[in-house]
Amino acid sequence: MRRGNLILLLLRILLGSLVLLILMPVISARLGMPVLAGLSYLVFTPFCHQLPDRSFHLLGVPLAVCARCTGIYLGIFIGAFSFRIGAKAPRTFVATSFFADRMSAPEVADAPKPLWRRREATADRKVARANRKVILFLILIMALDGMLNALGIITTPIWLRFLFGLGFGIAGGWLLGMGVEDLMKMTQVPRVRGMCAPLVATSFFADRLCGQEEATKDRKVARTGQRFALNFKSQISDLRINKNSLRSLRLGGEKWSREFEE
Amino acid sequence: MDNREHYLKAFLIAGLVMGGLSGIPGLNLGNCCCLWQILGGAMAGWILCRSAGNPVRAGEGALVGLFSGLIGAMIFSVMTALSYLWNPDDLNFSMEQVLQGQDLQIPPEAQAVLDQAMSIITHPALALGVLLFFSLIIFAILAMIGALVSVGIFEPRFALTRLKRVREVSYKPMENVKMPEIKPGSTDLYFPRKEKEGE
Repeated sequence: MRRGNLILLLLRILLGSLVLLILMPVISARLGMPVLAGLSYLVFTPFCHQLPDRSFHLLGVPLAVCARCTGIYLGIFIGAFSFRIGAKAPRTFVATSFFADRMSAPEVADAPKPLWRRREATADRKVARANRKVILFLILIMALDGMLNALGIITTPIWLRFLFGLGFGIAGGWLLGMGVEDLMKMTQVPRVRGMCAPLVATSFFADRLCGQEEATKDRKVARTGQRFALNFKSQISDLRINKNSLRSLRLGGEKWSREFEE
Repeated sequence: MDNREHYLKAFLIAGLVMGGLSGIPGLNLGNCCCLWQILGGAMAGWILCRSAGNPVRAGEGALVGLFSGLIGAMIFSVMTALSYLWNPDDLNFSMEQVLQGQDLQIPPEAQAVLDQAMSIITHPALALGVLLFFSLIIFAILAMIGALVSVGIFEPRFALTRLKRVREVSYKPMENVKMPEIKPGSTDLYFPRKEKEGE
């Protein structure tokens, strides 16, 4: 499993356990272990008012947080869980395009492009802006509802609070999944990938495997290949090496060896 | 990681603000529905976008949000511990209230075990340890979301400012460039060198 996927899985497990902790009073009431319920209420005491009349009751027991917070935590879990399930899932696209609008910055927009590419870029930008509005709407509507309720101007029913929190949570969960994935990409150690990896490995071991008499030239190529590959190693971390670049790498190695001989 | 030198400023300021606002009695009402955590994370993202010299990635926003959340949680826990030391009955009262609210049917033989368990769980040190652990998780997650939203909103705006700044530096119009005054014979850089070299 790749490191990014593993971290994403750990994040999902963590968020899932938070949701489980919210449901803990109900479970503990079922099991007859009120200590667990106490622990659950204690954990969320600083983050929620926990008023019973604003919380959901399951089996007659109030949950550890209010309806809005239940929606937020559940939404974050759902958002992070559904992110990246299916390669071209629309939610992934929505989260990605939330950050894609910066591609419309003038340095990109001013660059000379063919007309079809410009049209495509404009369409992408429109989609990105629409998605941005969707996410901002989900966030703002929850904030507005919370503020108006706190000021006592309106009193929203409990299910609507839950829905507002859920919307915010799902949007936040998508963004969280995307942010964590990008963070893993940023922090990964540069390494050789694709077809270049066997070449580097071979050139490392070829030096030892070759005999004294035969293939002296090959050994030299292998050594220069090592040097060449190590120089390249830091630059090719995020690229997929295709056949052409592999060929150029070989040619570069041979050229270096010729220069070395001269 | 092009903006590495700006991370520290962003997450320290945001973490301090977040932890301070969530820990101060009275203001900590904003903790309800995660207001201070999300706003603190958003502040971290905003500071990063504002001070960065290169485009800010989503991952950078997540990183800054994560660390600001961790710092905020630590400050919040310290302040909560101080407030409980000031008024120790507060914690016990809230726990008893919560458990009474559950209205559970507990058999009398289990009551002694339960009381013992309650005395352990309501021990201030354990309670604050649990609080710190879960605060770290909740603060970090919510601050990351706040920072990601903030980077998504502010980055395109600050990208424009950044681009203008770069253009001002690299494409300075010629009329604004002050040329040094060079008199004949005062410097070697003067064009007709022939006279000086005697050719």
